[in-house]
Amino acid sequence: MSPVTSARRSRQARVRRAVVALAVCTGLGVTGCAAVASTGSSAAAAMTTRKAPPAKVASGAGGANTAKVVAAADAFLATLSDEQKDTVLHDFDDATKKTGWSNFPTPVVQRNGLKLGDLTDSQQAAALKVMEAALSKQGYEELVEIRKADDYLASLPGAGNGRVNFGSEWYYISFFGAPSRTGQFTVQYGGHHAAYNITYAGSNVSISPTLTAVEPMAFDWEEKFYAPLKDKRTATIGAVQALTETELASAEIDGSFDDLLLGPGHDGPFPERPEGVLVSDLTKKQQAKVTAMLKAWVDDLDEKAAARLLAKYVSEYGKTYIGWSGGTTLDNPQTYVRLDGPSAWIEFSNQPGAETDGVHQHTIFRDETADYGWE
Amino acid sequence: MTGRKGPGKVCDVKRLLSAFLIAALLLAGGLAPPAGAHPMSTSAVLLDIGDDRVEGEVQLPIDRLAVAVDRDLTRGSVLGADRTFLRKYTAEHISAVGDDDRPWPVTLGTGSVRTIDRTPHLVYPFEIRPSGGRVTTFALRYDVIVEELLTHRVIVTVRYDFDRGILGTNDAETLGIFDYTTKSLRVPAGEGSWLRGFATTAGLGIEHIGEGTDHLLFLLMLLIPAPLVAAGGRWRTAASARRAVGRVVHVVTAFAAGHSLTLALAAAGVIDLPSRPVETLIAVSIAVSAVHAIRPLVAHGEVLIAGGFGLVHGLAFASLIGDLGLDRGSLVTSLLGFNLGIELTQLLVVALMMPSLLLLSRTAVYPAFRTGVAVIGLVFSISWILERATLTSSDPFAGIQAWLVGHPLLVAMTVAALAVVARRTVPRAP
Repeated sequence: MSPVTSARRSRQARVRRAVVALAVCTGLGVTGCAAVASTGSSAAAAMTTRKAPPAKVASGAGGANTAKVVAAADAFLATLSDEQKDTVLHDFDDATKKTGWSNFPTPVVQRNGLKLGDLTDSQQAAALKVMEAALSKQGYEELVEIRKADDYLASLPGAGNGRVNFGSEWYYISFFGAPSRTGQFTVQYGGHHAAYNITYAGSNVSISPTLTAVEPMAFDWEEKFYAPLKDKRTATIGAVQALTETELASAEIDGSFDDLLLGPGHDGPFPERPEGVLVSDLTKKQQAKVTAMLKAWVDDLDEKAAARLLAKYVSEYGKTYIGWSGGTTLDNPQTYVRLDGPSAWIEFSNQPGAETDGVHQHTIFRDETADYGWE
Repeated sequence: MTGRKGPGKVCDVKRLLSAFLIAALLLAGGLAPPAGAHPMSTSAVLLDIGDDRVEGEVQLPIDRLAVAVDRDLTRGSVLGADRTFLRKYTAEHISAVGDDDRPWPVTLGTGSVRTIDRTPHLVYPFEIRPSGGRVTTFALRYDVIVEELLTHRVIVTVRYDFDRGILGTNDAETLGIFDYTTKSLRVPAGEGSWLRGFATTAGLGIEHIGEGTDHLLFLLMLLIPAPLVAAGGRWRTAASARRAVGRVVHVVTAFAAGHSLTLALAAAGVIDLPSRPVETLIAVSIAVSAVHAIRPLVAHGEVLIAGGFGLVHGLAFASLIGDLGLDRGSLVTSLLGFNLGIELTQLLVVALMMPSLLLLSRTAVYPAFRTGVAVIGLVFSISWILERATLTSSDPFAGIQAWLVGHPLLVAMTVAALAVVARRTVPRAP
């Protein structure tokens, strides 16, 4: 072998070594990058602590079935993985509580917590048990029917133009504050046309703010007829139409309303000066109609607490006003009715059809003294 | 307001993206506009803050306006029978007041109907003239529609304010929302400085060349043979490192001179070429420089290529000026800032790559490295040429390119590691 070829061979060997080294370097670089990326995401997923502050409950009416709701919540949480628990549990005062609910479908407003459609059948059943425990029989039925209405919308050709999600799987549940018999916590449930914020503080409960809405007003689904919110429609139109001509004239609220004034993302301010006619100035018969209207919302809550709250709101009729704007009939898309008391606040807003013909309703219930619970 | 340049399609996509961005921002801020199942039915006020005037536009959804004024309005009637009434109504509900409480006159332009988010809107341009001649912080008072329709909301956006670094829809700033409780908003103005705008345009320059795979690849193709000398139709190692550095300086200067010239001319409107042939020519420029990196085409070819094709790359940068909304006022400052950003990024690329290339060029692996990288560049550029001349519908290498551009330090470190290893294990080049 000549010295020349030997030198060339050794050079070739070195070049080969260099290429291998380059490959190793690249490989290390890529792995390094991937490692950095995964560290970042796992850090972001780290658990946060959740505290339930002691509540100063001045305005509670008592009667809450807190123990039953806590038991249902604990049973639901027990079905979840750690990762799911992390998604479903928030601090009591987490800012997303106020931004993560809406009448709009997703993804227009992203909801908090776990999506029912992502849960197993038994997890979903356990989640709904929490709502069933928190609500009355009629309240829970309405919740179920609002979901069915969304299934109905999803079945319509071209529903949402592919821009929004319709269907009963697109409803979410979350907790703000750990469910507890003594500490304060909120159960938040919602999706399109539904948003329940139910806050417990010991024996007290607030269902403020809770948005119930539906489109269409009536529909057939799986060979059954449904008309969710029928009680709210009948009672509201009944209350406003019970007013005399002169009362109607003075009950008209300034301005027009094409949606809820204190709807999602607008937790206040409540109007400084209530508008409408004073409920205590009305006849007994008319007042009974107003009470029927109040009941249509308050009675969505578990029966005992609902009865206590209703009594409290009725006792405030001396400072409670009922008013309207746009129209007072069910078929008028401008119809807007409001009940404004020291505590209770109800808005009923007719909407022109979005996905179907005919009007549909957006409604909200608030308790000004216990919005999202207590300080 | 000046018109925007650039090809329609690109513009539309960008506008759509920015619309999504704004929507996302609003949602994140809890200011959810009523969209979704319903089309958006909010009003919008857009503001362009200038030195001596504020220009802008109000967008009023016609169906909401109809509720507010209690009239049956249609696309036709708002420009016909109801035109005078609506112009008067709108003008009565917009006013501006300076910091010294003096009113600033607001002039409404001619209304038109535009479909925004699938809903017909009545759109008025307007102009606000400050009482003192110079725009300072002022209060915008506004309650069109919302004075009657109490659930209506009006989203106010600053679309342009050079001195505060707001140059286009991408960085448009939501100032606030007029609603039944908020009927006056403070519009900050005259608080920034031209430096802020200059820095922002420089940032845009950095961002856009940093993301422009084609510009970076062209530069890389020119840098690879820079440490070498062409002799007898082949590349040979330069006699001294100093000479190699000198050649790099020549290449970078020639590229900068070329693209600065056309960038300035195109932005000033002296030349105006359609973007597709320009994009195709840029891909060709990479192919030519890649071939040159394999075999020298002409002596000092890289300087000629850098300068000549630099002119083409400048045209592409100029089309960005329009897309980014840099063409409203302050053009000279914008241009200088944007170009400075481009040059800084190039120098950074040179600083990252050149030491390794210089080191590598003095080892025996360099011919293989140079050819390998040039062949990759050639393949990428041919794929671009085909795609940009619409012969193919997509670029199969887009993913790899995006990854390479997304990890500049990793690429630079890999080359540096190779250079060090090669230097230690491989004999010097002859």
